[in-house]
Amino acid sequence: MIEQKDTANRLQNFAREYRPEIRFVLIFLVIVGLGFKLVYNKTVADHVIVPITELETLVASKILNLSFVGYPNRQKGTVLSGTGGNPFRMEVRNNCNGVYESIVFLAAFIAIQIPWRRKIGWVSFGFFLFHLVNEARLVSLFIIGSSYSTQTFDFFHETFWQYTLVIVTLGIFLFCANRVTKMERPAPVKEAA
Amino acid sequence: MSRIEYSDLTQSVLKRLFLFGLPAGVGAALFWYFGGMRYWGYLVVTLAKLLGFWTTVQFDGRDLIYQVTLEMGGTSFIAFKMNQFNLSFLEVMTLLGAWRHRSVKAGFRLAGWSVLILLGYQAIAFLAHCHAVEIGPDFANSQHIMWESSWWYVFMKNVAAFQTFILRYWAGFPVFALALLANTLTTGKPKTK
Repeated sequence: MIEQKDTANRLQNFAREYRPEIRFVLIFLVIVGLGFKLVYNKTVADHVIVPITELETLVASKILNLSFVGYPNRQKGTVLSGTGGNPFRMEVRNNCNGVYESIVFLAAFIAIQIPWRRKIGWVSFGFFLFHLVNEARLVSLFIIGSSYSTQTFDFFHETFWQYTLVIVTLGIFLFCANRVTKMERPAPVKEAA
Repeated sequence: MSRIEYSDLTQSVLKRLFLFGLPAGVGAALFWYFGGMRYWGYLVVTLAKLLGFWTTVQFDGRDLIYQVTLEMGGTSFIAFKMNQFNLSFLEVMTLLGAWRHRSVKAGFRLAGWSVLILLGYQAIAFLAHCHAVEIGPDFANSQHIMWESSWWYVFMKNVAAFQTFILRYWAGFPVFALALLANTLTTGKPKTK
């Protein structure tokens, strides 16, 4: 009986002490769940996700076609095909367009209990930065796929870039959240000599 | 949590993420590169054997193998690449490295919870994925078996889709959060600011 009461007290204390964290996690989970439903909705997939993926493929193709990058290619939809003797072909799929990571990033930002007028600018900046990194990822994967072995491509595709993207997303979120929450603090009072 | 507390927290986590988390992640990657995940795979398969007592599973040093007993007799196998779990392993090790531990003992305690929950997640994800394939139309077609949809298949398909959507790349985060929760509830220590 005493043990039961002790456990109940412990849970109550936990809920009281970690209230902001619990609220953050709950809001985060609800938004991620809604994002999941949205991404797997056929209408959203056809009219939002596919155009985003095609746009990202187009940007990657333009960068790769620049003379100083030197990887001429042709873009059709979400597929990049090497030209001029380069047989490498790469399809940008749903998992590679950065949409999932964007949803996680956005969900985390919404879950922070800070007014929107303060965070909207930093959310937009974080989004831009994240998609810039994702473009670098697509470009580098095409270069690696064209110039190195399949094993090297697989390593960079499945491990290096996935891990880097997760850490970079977390880093961008922490940086932006830090800037959003930063406020001017009173300067320390200097004692007169 | 006040804005100043958010600001201090995000700044310190960001700093620790790159100072300690990233090297811990690189260490975990080296462990994997030099064959450590083979031993890890045997741990996952042992736990999967305990959890999935109705089926036979094994590890061949690279893939996790799930054995299916066919209704008309004979057996078939579904392979699951161990590599798919490496990301969650790297993430948990990164977060363990980035976390501020009260003492070495507390650090080992949290690491213990993390490893236990990580193995549990991997064993369940492996069993769930293979079960979803086992009851799916593609496997039935490959075995020339009549296939009919069911509510259980639809549920498992959604679980598999959620796994692909978010857990495949971010599983380390909920695993670490659960480890923190378990650690906090069992020790009952208040949080530090």
